[in-house]
Amino acid sequence: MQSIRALLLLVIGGTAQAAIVASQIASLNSGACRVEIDYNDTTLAIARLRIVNTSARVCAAFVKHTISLVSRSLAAQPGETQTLNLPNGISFSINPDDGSLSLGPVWLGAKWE
Amino acid sequence: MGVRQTLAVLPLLGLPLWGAITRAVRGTAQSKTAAAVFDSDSIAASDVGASFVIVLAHDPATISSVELRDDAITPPCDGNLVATFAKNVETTNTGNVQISVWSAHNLSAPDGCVKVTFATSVVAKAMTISQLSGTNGALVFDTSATGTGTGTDASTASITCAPNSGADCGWIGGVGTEGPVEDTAGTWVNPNNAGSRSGTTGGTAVSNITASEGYEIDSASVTQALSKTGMTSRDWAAVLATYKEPAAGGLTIKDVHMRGRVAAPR
Repeated sequence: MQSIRALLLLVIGGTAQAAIVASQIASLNSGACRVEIDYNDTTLAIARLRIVNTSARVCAAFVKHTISLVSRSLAAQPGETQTLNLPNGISFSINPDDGSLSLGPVWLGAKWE
Repeated sequence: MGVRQTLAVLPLLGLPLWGAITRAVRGTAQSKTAAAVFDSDSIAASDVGASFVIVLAHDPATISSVELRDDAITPPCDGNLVATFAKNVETTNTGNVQISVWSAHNLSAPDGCVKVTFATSVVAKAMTISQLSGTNGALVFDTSATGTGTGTDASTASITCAPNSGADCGWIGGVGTEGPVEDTAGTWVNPNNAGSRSGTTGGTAVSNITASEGYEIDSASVTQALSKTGMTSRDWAAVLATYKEPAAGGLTIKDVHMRGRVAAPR
């Protein structure tokens, strides 16, 4: 009975499932150091920061909320893949000009050296 | 021992003993016509052995290749392949603007035109083309940094470029904004020289893309982040790349002229 109710809610409600979307934000040295974020396409919250480093040097990235000053950084040694779960409150906003995503007060940076 | 000699180092006009990087403008291009190919106009012939550095900004899309082709047939930029550019650094402000820096070094025939091929059709796109030349020899790509955000000021993470002995570091910065070329350009703080700027125009502001280039040449080790301030507030993406020239060579035999006489042993 519960499963039928859940199915009915899904059909009647018609609400799309939120999905986690991976987006590459930086590629350094022809992709040897790649920095990605995972964000929720419904809440627009940036959930994770990830570095895939196949280069011979350190690859690093950071995210900073310029209003709350919440910031996190991450570094991947040569050959490493590192993932960091981010705190709540670091989210995309909607650009009022065209309805597109906007980073707003969120600043994302990366380096390879 | 009776070797007495004098050394005379003759003036070596045009052959500096210490290296130096020079930068020159080689062109810009912009287009708002949906297409998977984006060509520059002809580039004037440059120094043999020079590097070309491209700052490329556009609506987010995968770039398949950036090539230097001879311009025997222009337009389009479909002449023979001269060199393939390597992607030094790229960053994307998700859904808004993507920017990358591409370079090709030690060019044997540095002229022609630049052909950018995307994996899909792209509407707004702009590029700047610069030349870097080192007196010590061919440059190489060294380090890079990126940043993305929204607002009037753009910046990246901080990186260090330490020149080789007797040589320079060349810094190239790029800021891509989701706005028209008529936007307020702002001020390049680091790198500290404003380079070329190119962008599209017309329609809504956010239907456009503008690419802005900054540059700096340093003979000492410098640690800095890209910083550009006072722009029209837009979604932006910024990249910073450094290039090194080889260490300065010592005097070679052809540079040193010896005079003297060998005295008889006493």
